[in-house]
Parts: sequence; structure tokens; C-alpha cells
Amino acid sequence: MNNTGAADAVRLTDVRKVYGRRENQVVALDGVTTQFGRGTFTAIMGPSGSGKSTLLQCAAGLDQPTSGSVRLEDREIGEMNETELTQLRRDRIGFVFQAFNLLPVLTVRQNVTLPLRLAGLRPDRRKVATVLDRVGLGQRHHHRPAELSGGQQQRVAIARALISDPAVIFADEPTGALDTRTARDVLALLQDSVRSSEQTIVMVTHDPVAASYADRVLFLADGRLAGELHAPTAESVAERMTHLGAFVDEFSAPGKGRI
Amino acid sequence: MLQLALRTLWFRASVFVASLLVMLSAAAIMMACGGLIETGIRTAVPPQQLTSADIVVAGDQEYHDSGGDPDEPPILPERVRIDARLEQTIAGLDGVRTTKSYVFEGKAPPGTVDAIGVEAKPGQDVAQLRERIDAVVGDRTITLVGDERGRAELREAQASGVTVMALAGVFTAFALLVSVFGVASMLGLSIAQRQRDMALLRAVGATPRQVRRLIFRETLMLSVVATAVAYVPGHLLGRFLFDQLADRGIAAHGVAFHQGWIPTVAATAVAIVAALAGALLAGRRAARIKPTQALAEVGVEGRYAGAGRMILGVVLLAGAFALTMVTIVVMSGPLTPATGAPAVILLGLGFALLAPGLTKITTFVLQWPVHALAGVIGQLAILNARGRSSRMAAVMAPVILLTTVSVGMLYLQTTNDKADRRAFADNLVADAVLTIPGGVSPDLVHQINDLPGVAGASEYVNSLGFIEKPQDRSPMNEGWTLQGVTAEGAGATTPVKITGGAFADLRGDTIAIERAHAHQLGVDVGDPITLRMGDNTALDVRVAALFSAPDGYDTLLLPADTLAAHTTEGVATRILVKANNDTSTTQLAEQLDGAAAAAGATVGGRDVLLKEYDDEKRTANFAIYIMVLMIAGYAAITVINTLASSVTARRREFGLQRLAGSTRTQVMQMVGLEGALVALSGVAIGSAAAAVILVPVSLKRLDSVMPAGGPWTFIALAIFTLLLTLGAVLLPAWRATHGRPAEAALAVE
Repeated sequence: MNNTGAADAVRLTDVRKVYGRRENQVVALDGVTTQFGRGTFTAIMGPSGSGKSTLLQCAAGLDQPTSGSVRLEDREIGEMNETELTQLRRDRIGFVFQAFNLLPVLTVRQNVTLPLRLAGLRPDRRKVATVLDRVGLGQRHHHRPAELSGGQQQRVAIARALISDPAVIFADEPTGALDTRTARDVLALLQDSVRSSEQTIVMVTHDPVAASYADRVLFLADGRLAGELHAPTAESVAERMTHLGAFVDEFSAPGKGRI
Repeated sequence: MLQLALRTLWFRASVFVASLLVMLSAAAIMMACGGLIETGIRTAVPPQQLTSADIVVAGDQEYHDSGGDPDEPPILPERVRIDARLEQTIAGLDGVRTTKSYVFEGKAPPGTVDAIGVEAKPGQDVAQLRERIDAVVGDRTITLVGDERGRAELREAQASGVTVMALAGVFTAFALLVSVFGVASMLGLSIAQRQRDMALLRAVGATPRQVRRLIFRETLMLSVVATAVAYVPGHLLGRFLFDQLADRGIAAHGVAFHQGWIPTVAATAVAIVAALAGALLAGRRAARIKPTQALAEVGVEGRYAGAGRMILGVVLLAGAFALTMVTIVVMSGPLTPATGAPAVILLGLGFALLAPGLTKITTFVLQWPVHALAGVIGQLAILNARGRSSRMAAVMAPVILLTTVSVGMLYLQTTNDKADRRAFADNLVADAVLTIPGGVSPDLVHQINDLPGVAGASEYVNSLGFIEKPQDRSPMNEGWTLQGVTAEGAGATTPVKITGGAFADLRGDTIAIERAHAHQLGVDVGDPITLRMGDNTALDVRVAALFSAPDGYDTLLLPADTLAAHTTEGVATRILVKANNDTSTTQLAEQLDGAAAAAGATVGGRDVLLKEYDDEKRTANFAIYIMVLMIAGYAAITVINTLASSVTARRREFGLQRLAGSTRTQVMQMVGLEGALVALSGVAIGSAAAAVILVPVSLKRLDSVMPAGGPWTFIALAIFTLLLTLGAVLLPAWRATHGRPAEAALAVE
């Protein structure tokens, strides 16, 4: 699966996303224009409610923007129907979520090969083995998610994202539910896939340390771009975030479960 | 995908066991009904006296010229006899070894017999011989072989076969509707619980079509297993039902129960198709789950009240209203359940489909009392009910169905019973009934007519017949009631008023007919009519009198001796006596005792006939009750299933709530309150649905808004539903809150 000749994996032009009806509209994205070059690792940061998750969902074809254009490998996502979007996600996009990445009923190997099977392809045994080895789970392919630690589960999710050689991997707080040490392993794994095989990764995070693994950090506030940082360090990112006046809610991540 | 479906079934066994149970009971019910239908179609009666005969020649008990559905001819009520001379003709045929004539019941008129048994010569092909016999007998005579032969002995077998078949047919249709619904709501719940799985699937590349296919395959595998397992209970249930029907006299004793491979295969196919139809409904919902829901941290409520569901609900309700109108306007008496029962089912299904909307209304109404009674716990229960209205609707739908069906069917029955009995009692104009088993002599009737205090006495015979000329249609093509009367006492012992001619002329081959009916036929006093009597013979009669009668009287009056000659018994065995206005029933009985003793007759009040009527009714009602019981039982299984699995799936939520400071008792109280909310709302909506048909039917038939039958049935049903619901939520809730809250809170949903 070769990429087309476009220089950028994803290009967003004046993307707006509005939720709700006329009376209580919420503008989640307000005219965002940016691009994610091939083989780059971008982190998207911003305070809660800044629209970073929405940006990721629109860029990944999980959601349709209200207006503006999203092009993935020079194909306009906005004009696709649900089935076309699904096929695009299956073939060209990989996902890693914060939690609940895996189907609990399937084994590691089955979870990893799921996108291929959904596409009606026969997984190549050697390739599966290579990918699983790369994430360090070569020996555990027959285990079920419940038998794995949180970090291992995230690595399975990364393996699943890598299996179809996607144009871009979108990660939504991939280390949000992990302890610092495990988080570092997972981030290193992501970084490695960019360095060694030119994988494009877009990651939403609120953790300056996580963001420091990226090549570029994109800051978002109130649905608008609020600057970017190249070759970031944890300190420079944290400083920038403090300036955005949003560091306050860094430790008040949304509570788990509601009654 | 197949692998995913299989593994899902395996690892989420608890969710699927519930679906499996629903499918299994539906399949078992359908197999049992199939067995009853096969038994009815075959009406196999192993012969008792005719065992040596290879072929039995008997009268055709079916009347083929009623003008109704040619595939469902009415069954004649009297023994159809055949010409005794046929025996000679048949004995002369090639291949016949011996013949023998039989009379099984009553007194056969001279020159007729009930049946002729034919033994074939050794080596003679029976089928060929049967063809030769068919060629020489008339078209009102049939030949029977194998297990059909017993039908000649057991005449009622055929009529009972038709009844059993009709009952089972109607019931299969209900079971089908209810099981599609049950499976859909069960699957809907299991999908709601696996919403994250579904969303994740969608996010990593499953198209909506693939998700639908996944649900479809899961269901296919489940239903194949369920129907295979249903084989044994299906057979046991079929035999059990048939034994019950036979014990109550609905199925004739002597008819053999058959549940062969055809009903089993057919029921299996139907049950699987029904389950898949349910899966299609549920799959549409699953495919609508958005992939972004995989990203959401808390299970977000999906949209449940889809437009399709609403439209289907409205369509079903429209059908229910149409059937209700037909029930009110056209149907009367024993035919009411034919349209009344489907109307009730459709009402139940329609309201259940509209449950998502209706739930909001009932929760809104109930929030104040619950809040006032139960404070914070009550508020939580209300919030849960409101916040998860789709779950609420899913568990309430079967409660609505259960209530509508049981309340609707039972009260429809009691209301119609009361109206029918009232009509029967109104048309029964007699103060005393004399029963003489050997037959009434005309002298005795004269003698009683001359007694002081007697307004009139008449013989009493009943049968069924058709008018062949002029052309006529009887009610539902099932024939007119024929009543035999004595000319001198007819006026006093029938509810009719003579408008032309006179009862005095009702002698010999004559008839008295309702005025409007005569007008419709274009006949007047003195004109001829050709009747087809209950024993399948034609009879030319002359109109002797015209009368007016209450609505739904549907009776033709004939001289008793004329009618009795065409009944199985051959004689009238009853005399109806009406007293003068100034004579009491006791005085009348004293008067009659002397005359009766001399003639060997027993004297009873009019309740003798009312009791006979009640006994017959009880038999017919039993079939209805079995039907209601099975549908209600099925709905109850669905209620328990959906409620229990919805509560079990909330283990994590309960754990979180306890971590937040709730005691286990408070969680139980909350769940109990939610259960009570479901039960009360379901009963309220279900009763409203039942009222849609009950109120107009009661108005029409009883001139009252309230249906007959008293409040206790309803109260008992409501309490039963409440207990069922509470049991179904509290037991699993007790189990779900068994462990330490922290463990439960971390559990994977």
C-alpha cells in the first residue's frame, strides 16, 4: 500500500464544527487550518473544551465537519458517505484511544488483525508476528485483553493501528490511563514507528511530557489554533500551556463514570 | 466475522443465555402448535370396531356448498348416514372379500346404516379397490383407509380436529409476532450493553453493513442452537397441550396425537426466520451506533426511538383499530375472539413499540409520588429512569405486552361470555324443562298443554342446517340454528312474534322464518324452501309462518318431529314448558310432577339448559385460557429475561454508587423503586391499550363502559406483574452487589 504523491498526510482547511441546535450552539472548532506532513509526529494540546478531541475526530473521519475541508492523502473526506469513510478508516487510518481499545472477547492476535479481517483480507502471518514483536508482545498473542496490563493493552492497540500500514495514526490520550513508566514505553514505541518507518502520527494529549515526544506541538484554545512549537521539551510545552491560562484544569481530568 | 460472532457468543454467554431462552421457548411453542395442527389435519383415529376392514365407507360429514371457503367446509352436526343397499353393490365389486354394515349411534332410519366395512381379498391392492368403490358410491359418501377409518366410529373427531387446528393456527400466529418482538427487544438490550464493542468495531473499520451482519450471524447461530434444543420441550409441550384439550373435550378422545417431522422442520424454520427478523430490527439500531462513542468515556445513551420503530408502532395500532372496529361491528358471540384476540395482540405490540415515548410520560407523572415517598433514593431512581429511557423502554415493552394481552384477552372473554349468556337466557322462554331420554310422545305434550297454569309446552330439538334454495348465506357460512317446536306450544316457548301465517300451520314439512330473512330470500308464507339438514339430506319445506325476533336470534323453527328425523338421536328428548303469568314456578313444577312421573320424565327448571350451556361454554373457554396463559407465560419469560440482564449489566454502576457512599440496602431500594416504576408504568400503559378494545366492546355488548368480570382478575394480574418485576430486578441486583464495591467498579462492562 503506497502513499499517493501528496506531501501531507492530512490537510485541514478552515474547518468549523458546531454542535447543538440554534438556541444552544457550541462552536467546537472555529476555522482551523493546518496540515500534518508525512512521517511527522504531531501532538495537539489545549485546555479541556479547547476542541482538541473534535479536531482529531474530524481529521480522522470519525465525524464530519460542519464546514471546511479535510483532505486525507488528497482525498476530500467531507464528500464521503458513511461506508466510504469506514473503508477509509479501515485501510488508511489507525486508532489508539485512551482506554477500551480492544474487543474483550478477542485474543491479542485477533484484535490486531481485526481491521484486515473487516477488509476481507487474509492477515500475513509473518507480518503479524513482526508487528507484535515490534510492540514487544510476540509471546502473548493468544492472550485476551483482560489478561494484559494497561500498558500491554495500549501496545496491542498500537500494533492494531500499525498492521494496515496506515497513512496516519490518530491517538487520543494514549497514555492517559497509564502510569508514568508505562506511558514512557508506549510513547517511545510511537516515536520509534515515526523514526524507523516514516509513520505519521497525530496525538491528542494534555501531558507536556507526552507532547515532548512529538516533533511539533499544536496548541488549541477555544476552537482556534493558538500557536505551535517545534522540537518541544516538556518544560517549553508546560510553559506555553501556562501562558494559555489553561493549566488549571490539567489535573482535573474528567471523572470516570457517572451515576 | 464468523469467528468474531462465535467468540462473542462464547465470552458473553450470560447475555446470550437470556436470548437463547427467549428463542427456545418461542420455538418450543411453535413446534407444539405445529404438532396440534398436524394432529388436526390428520385426525388419525385408530379404529376400535372397524379394525378388520381395509376400507370403510361412511357418510361425508363435511358440507361443501355452504358458499364459504371451500378448504374449510363446515362440519355437519348430525350423523350423515348412507344407503344400506350400498353394501350389496360393494360386495359385488372385484377384489372384495367381505362387507359388513355398522350402526354406531342413535337409531338409524330404515334403509340406512352408519358405515360399511370392506375387507379386500388377499393380494388385492387396497388403493385400486378404493377407486372402484369411490366410483359406485355417491358424492355425499366417502371412503376411509388406515387411521382415518376410526373417524366413521368417532364422528366428533373431525369437528374437534378442525377446532384444534384453528386454535393452534391462531396461536402460532401470535407466538410468531410475540417472538419476533421478544427476540428483537432481547437483542436490542444485548446490543445496548455492547455499545462500546460496536462503536470500537465501527471505529477500526467495520461498515454499518458488517455490524448488521455480525448481529445477524450471532442470532442465526443462537437460533439454530435454540431450535435444536427446543425439540424435546416442543414435543413434550405439544403432547401436554393435546392431552389438556382432550381432557376438556375440545379434542375428541381417541384421536391420536401426531407431531412428526413436518411441523418440527416447519416450526424450526419459522422460529429461525422470526429470530432473524428480530435481528434485522435490532441490527438496524446497532449499525447506527457512531464510532465516536468508542472515544467517549461513559457509555452514552444511543437514540432508541427511531423513526422506523415509531412508524411500525403506528401501523400496528392502525391495524389494531381496524380489527377492533370489525370486532365491534361485525363479530358476535363465539366468533369475537377471531378478530378480538389479534386486535389485542396488535394493540399490545403497538403500545410496546411506542414505549420510548410513553415511558417519558409515565416517568413524568410518577416522579412526584416517588420523590415524596422515597426522597434521595427516589430521586436517583427517577433520574436513572429518565436518563436511560431506552433501557427503560426496552424492559417496559414486555411488561406492556404482558398486561395488554392478559387483561385484554381475559376481559374480552368475560364480557362476551356475559353478553352471550344474557342473549341465550333471553331467548330461552321456559320455566320448566322435562327430559325424557327415550323420546317425547306427542300425547304427553298435548297433556301438558292442557294442564292448568301452563301457558304453553313444546318439544325441543336442536340442530344446524343450511338453506339451499333460494340462494342464501348463513352467518359466517356456518349454518343456521334449527329448532324443533310443537305447533301449539311454540308461541309461548319462543321469544318471537308472529307477523304472517300462524304457528298452528307449522306441521309436517314446514318452516317458520324471520321476516327480514324471508324478505331477503324473496319468499312469503306458502312458498317453498329447500333445506340441507344436519345429516346432509335435502328437505323441501313450505313457509308456514313469518316472525320477528331479537337481534342475533339466527334460528329457523321447524316442527319437532320433522327436525328430529334428521338428527342422530332421531327423536326429541325435551319439553319446554312456560307457565301462565299468575302461576309460580313451584306451582308449575307440582302440576308437572304427576304427568312427568307417568311418562318416566324428569322435571327441572330452566337452569337445566343454562347449565348445559355453561358447561359447553366452559369447554370452549378453556381453550382461550390456555392460549392466554401461554402468551402471558412467554411474555413473563421475556420480562424476567430483559429485566434480569439489564440489572446484571449495571454491576459497575452499582459499585461506583456504593463507592460514592450508598449502602447496599440503598442500592437495592433504588433498584426496587426503578422496578416498581417499570411495573406501574407498564401496567398503566398496558391497561390503557387493553381499554382501547374493551371499552367499545363492553358498550356494544353490555351497554356499560366497564367490561364484565369484576376487578379481581385485574388486581391479581397487576400484583402478579409487580411481584414478577420486583423479583426479576431485586434478585440479580442482590447478586450484582454481592462483592466489594471497588472490585465491581473496576469490572469491565
